[in-house]
Amino acid sequence: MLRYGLFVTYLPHIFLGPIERYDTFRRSAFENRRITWDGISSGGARALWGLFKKLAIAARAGVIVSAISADPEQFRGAYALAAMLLYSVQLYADFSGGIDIVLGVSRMLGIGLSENFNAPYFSQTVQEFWRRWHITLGSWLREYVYFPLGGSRKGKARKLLNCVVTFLVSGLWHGVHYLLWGLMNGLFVALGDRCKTRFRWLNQLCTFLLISVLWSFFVWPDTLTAMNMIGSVFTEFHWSAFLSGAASLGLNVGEWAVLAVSVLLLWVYDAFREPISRRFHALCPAGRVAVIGAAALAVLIFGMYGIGFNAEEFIYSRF
Amino acid sequence: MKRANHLKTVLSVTAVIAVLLLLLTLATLLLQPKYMTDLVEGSMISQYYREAGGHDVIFVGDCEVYANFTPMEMYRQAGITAYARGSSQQLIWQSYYILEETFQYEIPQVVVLNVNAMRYDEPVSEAYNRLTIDKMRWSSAKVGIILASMTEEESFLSYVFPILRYHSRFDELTAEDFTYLFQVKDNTWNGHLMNKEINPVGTLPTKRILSSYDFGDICWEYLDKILQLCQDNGVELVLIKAPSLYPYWYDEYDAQIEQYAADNGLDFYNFLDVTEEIGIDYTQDTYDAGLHLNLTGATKLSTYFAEILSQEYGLADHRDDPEIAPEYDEKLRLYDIEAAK
Repeated sequence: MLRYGLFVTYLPHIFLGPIERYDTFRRSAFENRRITWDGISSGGARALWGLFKKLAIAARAGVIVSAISADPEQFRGAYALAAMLLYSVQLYADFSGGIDIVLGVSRMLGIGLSENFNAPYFSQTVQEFWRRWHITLGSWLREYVYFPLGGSRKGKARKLLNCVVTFLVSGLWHGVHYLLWGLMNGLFVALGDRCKTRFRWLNQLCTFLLISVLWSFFVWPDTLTAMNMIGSVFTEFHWSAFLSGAASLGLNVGEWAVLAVSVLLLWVYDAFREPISRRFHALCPAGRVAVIGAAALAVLIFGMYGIGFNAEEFIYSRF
Repeated sequence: MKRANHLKTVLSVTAVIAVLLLLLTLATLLLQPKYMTDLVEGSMISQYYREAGGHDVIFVGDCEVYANFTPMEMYRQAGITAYARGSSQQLIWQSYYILEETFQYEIPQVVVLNVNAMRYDEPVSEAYNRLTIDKMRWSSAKVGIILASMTEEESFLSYVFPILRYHSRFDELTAEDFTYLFQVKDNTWNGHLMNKEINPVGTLPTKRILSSYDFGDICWEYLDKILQLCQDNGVELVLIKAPSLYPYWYDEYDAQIEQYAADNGLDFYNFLDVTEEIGIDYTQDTYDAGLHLNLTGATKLSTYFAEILSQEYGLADHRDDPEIAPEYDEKLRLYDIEAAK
């Protein structure tokens, strides 16, 4: 009973996740837990990386997204597309950054939690995306909604229906406003890899753009405005207008440069996570301290925090 | 072998930590505002440390002190050695802690306190706090001034680790930040910030009627502390109100200070009452339409007050003092060159 109570009240994962199973947590926290130098150093490095994603990337992207979404009459077309793309960055950096902090801190304490993201923006289909994004929620929905409905065992039509219903539940879980978002995701997931081409990069690009467009329902406050903004991308698109107005959205040229470099770092990390992790584990203690120290300095200098910045709550803690 | 490896690990980790701390220090120094060419008021507090000691008079207060009084003129006229420890919007509790710090370096004969700040009984802004506090040396006085001055949005930690406050300046760095990374330039003349511009008085804002003219309890508390500090160190405290036309100095304010001075046996000079006698011409002697005196105005006021200080407080005339005169004469020569530019 006490152990279950500890599991339920384990602070690091209460607000953001991952949605952990008790059995997994029990094995890690109560049976094999050891605090080691490897855990402290790699956990610390991960937590700092998460903090960098939250404070340097998500917070910066959020400035632009907030500026654009606050005035849908003025900021349309290319601005709307920029908001969708930057929201993709903001949401991922914020959510996965928070998870990195949770997993990193837990690792430092000798507790291993489940991974919740697996480079989702490198997915080639929407179906694959939802296997890589918020993995633990996906598992929960699969186990407690999709499979009880019959999953894919009762024919193609029923599979399509089950997909749609599962994502409608997911949409509803986020809020009533997100039902259409859930429906559209469900349809695209049901499509599977029918729209896949033989070009990996093209599949990844199209999936990323599609997911970004679908995030519109999270950028603008109501369904009609979100759909209107999506439409404006195709009917009122002027890149030159956005480029000339970009510096007046809340970030100066230097800040845009930091955002661009940080997003590139994020892309590189996601693309080469395994070799990067192997390299880090191969480092001597001094090397690991150097990496951790450099990460801490990067957060200190490039993070958006303190006076003049709004210390935003984690986006996903609202849901 | 195992022991040797362990030692090697410890040494290498220590070396890395040392390098990281050095980088952090460099980053902090680079990102902090230098206040050397822009917002020079921020560097005034620290300039004192290079000139501390040997002052018979210490002026304490806000911009009315460092703008309106020129210690070099006081030396020229009466051989008085003085220093103006003032900063922008320096609040009364800040004056207390700055005076407390000053007494760790020297004990003057007279402290002259400008009472304009008595009207402010709560922190004004983070920006002004930074100008006053950032360049102070760490001491119990600095801890006290931070705790007394912080606005709601500020944190003590950001004063201990300035990088927490100034980290976002990485895209605002200018040549000044690199030029003055390891060096400083003196911007004042014994604390006086020289300004030769002329901007005559125009139309002053209408005098507002306030709901209350009473100075806040915290202001009286710190005025008492300043008085006690002076008494404990055998220093004469003199209260003044500089002849700045705005913000308006109400009669009710004046009456409270007059009463306090009378109750505590202090002298209080309100220079607003004697501007004609001093010879201040607000069409020529101010650089910002009457808020502060320019060099000619400060010269007139300092000449006037130097005579009072010399006669009333028995201050020594150091113009023939072989230990002090050479340094001050040279400083005066440079001061006159700057004034003539």
